[in-house]
Amino acid sequence: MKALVPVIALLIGIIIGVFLPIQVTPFYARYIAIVILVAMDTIFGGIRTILESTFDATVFLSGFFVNSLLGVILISIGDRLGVDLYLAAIVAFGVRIFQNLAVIRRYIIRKLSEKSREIKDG
Amino acid sequence: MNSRTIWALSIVCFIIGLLSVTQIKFYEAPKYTLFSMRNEQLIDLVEKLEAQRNDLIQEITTLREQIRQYEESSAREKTVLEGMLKELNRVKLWAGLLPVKGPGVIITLDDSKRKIKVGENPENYIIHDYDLREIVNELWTSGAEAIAINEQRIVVTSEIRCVGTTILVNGVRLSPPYVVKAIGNPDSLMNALNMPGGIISALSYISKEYGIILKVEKSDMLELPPYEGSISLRYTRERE
Repeated sequence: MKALVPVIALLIGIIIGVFLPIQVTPFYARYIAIVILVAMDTIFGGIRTILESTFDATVFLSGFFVNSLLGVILISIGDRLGVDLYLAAIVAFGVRIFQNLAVIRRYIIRKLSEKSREIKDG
Repeated sequence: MNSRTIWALSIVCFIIGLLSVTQIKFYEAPKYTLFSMRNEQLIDLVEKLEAQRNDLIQEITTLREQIRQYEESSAREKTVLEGMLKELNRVKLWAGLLPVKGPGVIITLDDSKRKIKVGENPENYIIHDYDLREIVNELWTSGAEAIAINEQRIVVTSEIRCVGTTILVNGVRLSPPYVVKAIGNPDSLMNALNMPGGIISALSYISKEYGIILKVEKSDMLELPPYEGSISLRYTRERE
């Protein structure tokens, strides 16, 4: 049951976002994109650490905020230098998301195969 | 999973939901859909917009035409109004309701300064209302267009009559000397007045005999006041 709370939080966020009259300018759209990517990376990283039983809320949240800040700084530096540094951030976080997803996938597969072996053994 | 884990995940999930929707809204805003449109769609859009623009141009032309018509009709109304005002002014000028100027004659009449001789009629030593009536009548006859006696303009309802020792014109009592100003052709007015057997010849005879003052002179520029009395009609109505 407890696992549903983050899902509910996601829905609440979506609902508030729908009804909140926020208008994003094209300039800030990329900053929001990187923050979303960081958040997704953090979530998958968090799920992985939960599955590995090494989850630490402080590390989790600080990771999210520090990574977001870093992404934003990268974008603003890139804007000033004329280099699309935010692409680097997107690639880095995208790679991490896939890696985390791969770990989670392997973990689940292992768990499932363990379970089926237990069933077979039992 | 302890509650700290749940809360940490929930916060980040909440942020993901909020920001994702914001971002989606941004990309779905109409002004940015142009970037994601294909050429055919863009051509379609351009054609639609062109059609809209042509409709609007048509509308502008129609509205301009309407404005022009309104302006024209208002201008026509204006000319009609101006014509009416002009006509009204002309009538007022004719009726003596406006101050006027022009060439004409001035007739000055005054009572005699001589002492009345014993046994003589004192009536012969003063100017009478009928003298003025005669003069005014003579002036109208000879083409005067505007007449005033002692700054009282003679209009259609003006009376000239004797009340005691004074003469009443437009209900205003006048006292001698009487200055009759008349606008018209000075020469024809002069000729009419000086006609043998006319009013001036009669008055000059009285002038010689009894000393009343009579002066007739031409003037290049006379200024006459307007009639200032009431012009309301209580009984007269226009016939249908």
